[in-house]
Amino acid sequence: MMNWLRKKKEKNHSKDKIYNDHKKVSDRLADSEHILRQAYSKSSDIVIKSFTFGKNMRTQALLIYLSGTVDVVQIDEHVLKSLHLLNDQENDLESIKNALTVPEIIEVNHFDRIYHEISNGHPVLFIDHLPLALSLGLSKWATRQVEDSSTETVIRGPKEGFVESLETNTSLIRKRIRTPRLKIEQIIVGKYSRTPVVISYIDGLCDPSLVEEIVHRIKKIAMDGIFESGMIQEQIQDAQWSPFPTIFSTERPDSFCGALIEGRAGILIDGSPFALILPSTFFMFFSSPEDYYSGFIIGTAIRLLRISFLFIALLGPSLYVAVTTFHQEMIPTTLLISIAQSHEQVPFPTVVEAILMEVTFEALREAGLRLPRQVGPAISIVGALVIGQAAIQASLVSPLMVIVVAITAIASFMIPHYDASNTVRLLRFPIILLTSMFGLLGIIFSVIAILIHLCSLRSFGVPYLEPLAPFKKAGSIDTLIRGPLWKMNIRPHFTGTLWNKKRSGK
Amino acid sequence: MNLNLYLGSRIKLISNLLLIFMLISSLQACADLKEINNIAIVTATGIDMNNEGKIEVTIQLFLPQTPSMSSQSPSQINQFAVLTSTGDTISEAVNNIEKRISRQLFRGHDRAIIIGEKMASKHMNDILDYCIRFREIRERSYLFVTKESAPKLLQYEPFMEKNSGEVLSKYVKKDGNLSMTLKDTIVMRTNPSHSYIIPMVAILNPTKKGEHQILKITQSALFSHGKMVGTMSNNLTYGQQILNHKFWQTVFSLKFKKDPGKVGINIQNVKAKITPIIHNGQWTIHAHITGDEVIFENTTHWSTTNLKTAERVEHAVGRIVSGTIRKSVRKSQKVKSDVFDFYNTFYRKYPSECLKVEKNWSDVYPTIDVKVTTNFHLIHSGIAQ
Repeated sequence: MMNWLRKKKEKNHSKDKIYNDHKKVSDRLADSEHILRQAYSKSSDIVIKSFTFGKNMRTQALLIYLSGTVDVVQIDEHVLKSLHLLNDQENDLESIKNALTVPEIIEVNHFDRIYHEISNGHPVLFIDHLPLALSLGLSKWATRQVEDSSTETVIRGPKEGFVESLETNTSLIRKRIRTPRLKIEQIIVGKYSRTPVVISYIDGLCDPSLVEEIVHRIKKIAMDGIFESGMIQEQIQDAQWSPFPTIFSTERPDSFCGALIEGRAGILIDGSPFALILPSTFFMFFSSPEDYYSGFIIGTAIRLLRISFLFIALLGPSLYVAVTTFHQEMIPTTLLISIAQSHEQVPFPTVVEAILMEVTFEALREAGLRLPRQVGPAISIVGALVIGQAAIQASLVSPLMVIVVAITAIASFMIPHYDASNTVRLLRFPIILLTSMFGLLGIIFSVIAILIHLCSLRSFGVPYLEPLAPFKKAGSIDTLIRGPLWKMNIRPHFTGTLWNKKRSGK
Repeated sequence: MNLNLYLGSRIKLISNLLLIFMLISSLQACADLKEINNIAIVTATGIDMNNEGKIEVTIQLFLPQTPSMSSQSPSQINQFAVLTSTGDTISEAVNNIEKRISRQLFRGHDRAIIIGEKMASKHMNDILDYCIRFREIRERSYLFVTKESAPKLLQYEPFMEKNSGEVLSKYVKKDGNLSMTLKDTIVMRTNPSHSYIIPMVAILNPTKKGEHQILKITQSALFSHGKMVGTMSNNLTYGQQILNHKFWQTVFSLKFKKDPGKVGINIQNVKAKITPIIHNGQWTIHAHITGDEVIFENTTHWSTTNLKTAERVEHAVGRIVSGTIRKSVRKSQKVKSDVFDFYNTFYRKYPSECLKVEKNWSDVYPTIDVKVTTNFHLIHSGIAQ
């Protein structure tokens, strides 16, 4: 058994050899071509074009690229035509580089780097006698247009959202923060996917040790492929066993830039429109970018509404269960009488009824998400029957339960951040169970437990409930309420010694 | 390796916690769980004594009936049931009722406790003791005394509310009616003569054809030392309410010698300033009553804008109010029931004197002299001039 394993390992190892990852480019073109043909064997999309140039066609060259990732018209215009105009004597590196009318030319000499450039969509040019290759910045990827963010919608505010292309995303950030102090550092993650991940921050606002820590954590990720920022988030966040997200993700460049200006750092990855912001605190998940655009009175009112509905989203069904099965004296007599009337035909205990309805609703929601868009309306019709009039008429549930489930659903949709809303949805069920056993005491136990847990969380060294617990004056008027913009003249301090305290203008 | 150890301990901890949670949840068996399908909601209770001297408890139960889709008149259905049982104690009688029904009695919504006159005149302390001790009965329940039989009162089908319990609890909340909750009674009972006042209710038969039977507060029962000792008419109860700062507004008509017409007057915002004085062994209460009056109706020949008329009306109202208060006090002094809480009024100013007479307060109370001065203002004479 062990022998077989070892054999297999060796075989794998020997297979890796044909890629010559660490070999340098030799000055013989034929060698390079051999290595490349070997490496890209069985790849129908690779284009390897040998050609000669110079007046007498003396100089041999090789162009290699992946079809579909490069701009063929521009290769023809700026590479092939320009090289053909060269004299025979002009085959040294300088003159070739001058002849190429391409703005971005990188000299590469290791094969692993060459593979990387080819994968990035850069055509690579090999010239005979030269012990290096030239990577030409002529990539042309198919990308989505910049559109309105589909997960974080606002009425008032910019209608631009991040897309899957990293270059577009960084340009969206640069468009908003026009200073060289905005830093965008790149790290490659993923053994096979080789995904570019960038860390973005503003020099002088963001604590350097925070950036160091982020780089350190990202470099420790050992994975074959990274396709979404969620995969990075899960691996670098502090409380990996907590249901609460401790890294904020956003699809909106405006909230991303807002966070950078507060002194936070951001992470963007190629191939995902979701950017990460860290350190992130509890109240970030319950505020919407629109809070800052619609005036502080409206912003505060909406935030308070959101926070109060957070409690309903978390405790709604449990409160109903507690009050109707343990503390009937809490309900006004008339309401109790109508509850008793509506519950008379229901065969299940209230807890079962509540869990049944909640699970059905969650299933409905999940089904609605996963459904192909064409059959989308079907689920709403069926859903309305399942948790609506039909369920009541069949005496499966009481009408009041339907109202409770509906209000809870509305409340959970009010949470602006999807991850946080999922956490609340998940926590609802253990609370219902505890409540069914201990009544209101169960609710209090679970709220205390959640609170203790929240107090213990940290996001990159910053306490999760920060501006309120521990209390810090800077930023405290931007938590449950949204204070006037001119009062937010102190930049919040997170970790480290760097604290650019004064916001400009004051 | 280190990471694995860390994960291992975490998983172990979580699985242990889950195990503990499951064990606990199987142990406690939903201690206080009362499914709403398994409780019988009591909306009113009657406590009386039958001819054999046994305690007779009557309860009014709400009958949950799902309003069926076909018949659109749920109000036609009798939505409550009345059950009666006897026992040596109140709790035994209640238990006897509970034995007869399929559900557990739930007293958290018992809004009205109706006490038979026979029971009230002998065992009022027992009732209060039971009501306070039993944790489901709320302190906000209203107490009533009745001369009629409790079952009859509870069976009364009102034309406006769902049942008589609801009628009573809403009725006493209206202006001018004496309302005594369990808590009010217990607080008032702290005076040395253990006096309190409880409204008395009765079913009034229609005086004219086509009128509905009504449930009404007819008078008030006065208690002293846990026994009902007398009654006071509704009119005199106003006096008690004014001195206890619980009066809000009422309407009455004034007659005058000089004019055949009458004035319908509304008094409101009535306030009492009470000053106790002990002078040469004579205990005196000075009550200064102020208030506003509004003319609702005027059939006299006098103009209501005339200053003289205003003076006349104000004077007449003052006379009526002070007369009511004086009569009311005299009535309570006759039965030695300190429902005005004079003891505590004196105690605040003369604690040592009060403590001396605490034992024989029932003898001191009838000797208290009450002097009433009034100051009413006509604030509004209506729109018509």
